[in-house]
Amino acid sequence: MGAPTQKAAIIGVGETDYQTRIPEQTYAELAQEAARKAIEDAHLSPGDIEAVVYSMAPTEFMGVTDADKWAIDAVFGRSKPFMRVHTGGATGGSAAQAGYMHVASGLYETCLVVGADKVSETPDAQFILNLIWDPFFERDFALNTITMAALQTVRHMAKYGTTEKDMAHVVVSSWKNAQRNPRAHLKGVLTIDAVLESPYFAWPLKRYDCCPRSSGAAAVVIASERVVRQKATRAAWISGVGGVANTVYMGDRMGGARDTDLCDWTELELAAREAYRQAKITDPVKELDVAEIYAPFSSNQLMGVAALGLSSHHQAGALTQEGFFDLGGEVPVNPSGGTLCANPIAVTALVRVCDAALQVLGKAGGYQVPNVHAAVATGVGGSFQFQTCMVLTDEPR
Amino acid sequence: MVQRDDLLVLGVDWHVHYDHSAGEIVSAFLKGLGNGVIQGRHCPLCGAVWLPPRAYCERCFVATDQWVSVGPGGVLEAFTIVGQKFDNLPEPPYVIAFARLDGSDSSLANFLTMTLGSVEEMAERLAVGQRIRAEFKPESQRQLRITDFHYVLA
Ligand SMILES: [Zn+2]
Repeated sequence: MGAPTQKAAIIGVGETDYQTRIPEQTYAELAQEAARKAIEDAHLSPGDIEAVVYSMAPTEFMGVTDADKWAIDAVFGRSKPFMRVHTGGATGGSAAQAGYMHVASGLYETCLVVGADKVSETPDAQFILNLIWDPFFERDFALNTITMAALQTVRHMAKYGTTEKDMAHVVVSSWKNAQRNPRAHLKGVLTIDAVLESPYFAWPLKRYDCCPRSSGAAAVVIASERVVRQKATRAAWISGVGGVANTVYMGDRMGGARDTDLCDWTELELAAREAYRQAKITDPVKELDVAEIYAPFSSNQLMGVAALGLSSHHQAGALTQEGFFDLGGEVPVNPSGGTLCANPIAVTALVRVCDAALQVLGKAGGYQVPNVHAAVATGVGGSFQFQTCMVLTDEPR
Repeated sequence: MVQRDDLLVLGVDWHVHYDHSAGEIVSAFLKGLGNGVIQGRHCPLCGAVWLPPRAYCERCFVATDQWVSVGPGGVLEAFTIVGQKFDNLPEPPYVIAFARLDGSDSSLANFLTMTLGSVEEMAERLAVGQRIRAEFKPESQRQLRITDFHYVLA
């Protein structure tokens, strides 16, 4: 693997509010709102954007095949190089990495990464999510995001002693954090008991262990060091990126002599190792000030903190209960409320990047963590088979 | 959300049919199910027996060389008890399981049938590592599909 030819940084962030439906805007108009906000935030005009990377996951949720085409003009992509990136839930993380590569390669000075989703345009989201599985071997067995996460969680419980109470703490903390985030979809005061008493969707996952279906859009402007210096603007430097894919078959990732375990998030561990190497991070607990982990189910946050080296798998539950990952804790995780409080699938991983960038830029408002020098953002997609990891820092590394 | 009379929606339905080609390897596997046999593909280099069967060992990058019958016994590697009704799916509760059949190196998904109870009661009777068995439908009811068998507790 080679090295970048120039440094790149996020200099503009744009997001809409996240909610179940957004009937006031078409899909393209929604994407445009995020694009416009990011370009304005960067103090640029659309003409300054040299290339566009579009973040769009399965299009069946909003029912227009390859909806990225619909949005090209709306996101100021006309007459520019344009590409869509799609790695399921990890799409936004992969899109941000593609945008980074546009600039870090030295081929472009600026790149807009933007996308939108309207997951609730159909009531049949779990049916659509079942379609990602092999029609011969897996689709018949009611696999969808909820059941696949439950299968994974059962393994984590068996292997590491994780409890439903550990998971409930993640939910309560996320909902509490989200109260400080004006864009979050779900937020409020939840008690551990309320989470534990909510009905089982797929044991051991209960209603509150699961993310909502959200609509919304997100965008970032990535620029070269030259543009950053010219504009004399604050920047969240992209200091490390990693991405790892694995087989779609979950059965290849459990037990026997298999080299990865579905419940270990080995793919994220490998992606983080690469991102940390580039960002020169050797002790993530000491050197990372905040983490935005793509955790659509409560148990995923326990897997995520361990894969990122913020805890061991065995201790993740206990540390969560002790407040280690709360706002004010050792390494705040998902101060935005995270994916449990808003999941516009096509851009959720980009929202993690946006929230990590806002923390580095000191612009996270009510959920700002003090003195952030380094933040990490992750994305997960497919059958937990894609993982992305991006480290953002306040100075170039 | 406030309902606004000035905003319209357009209702659309999709009805789409596909004929998925099973290919040589998967066709042979599915025909085996008709005879009550579950077969994996063996890699000549690493020795792994893959299920679902693959024409190529994706770890060693060589063609697999033979069929190996596996099961019917095996080990439960992951399970969940569905407690929520989803469209076009059975009435809950039901169990989705991944099991590694004896003689194979990867796990296959299927439904696991057991005595029903509350979700919690059923969870107490299941554990990762537990022995299971693949049980076939009567020959006359087999359709050369993966649903021709299911798991039961051994
Ligand atoms: Zn092999």
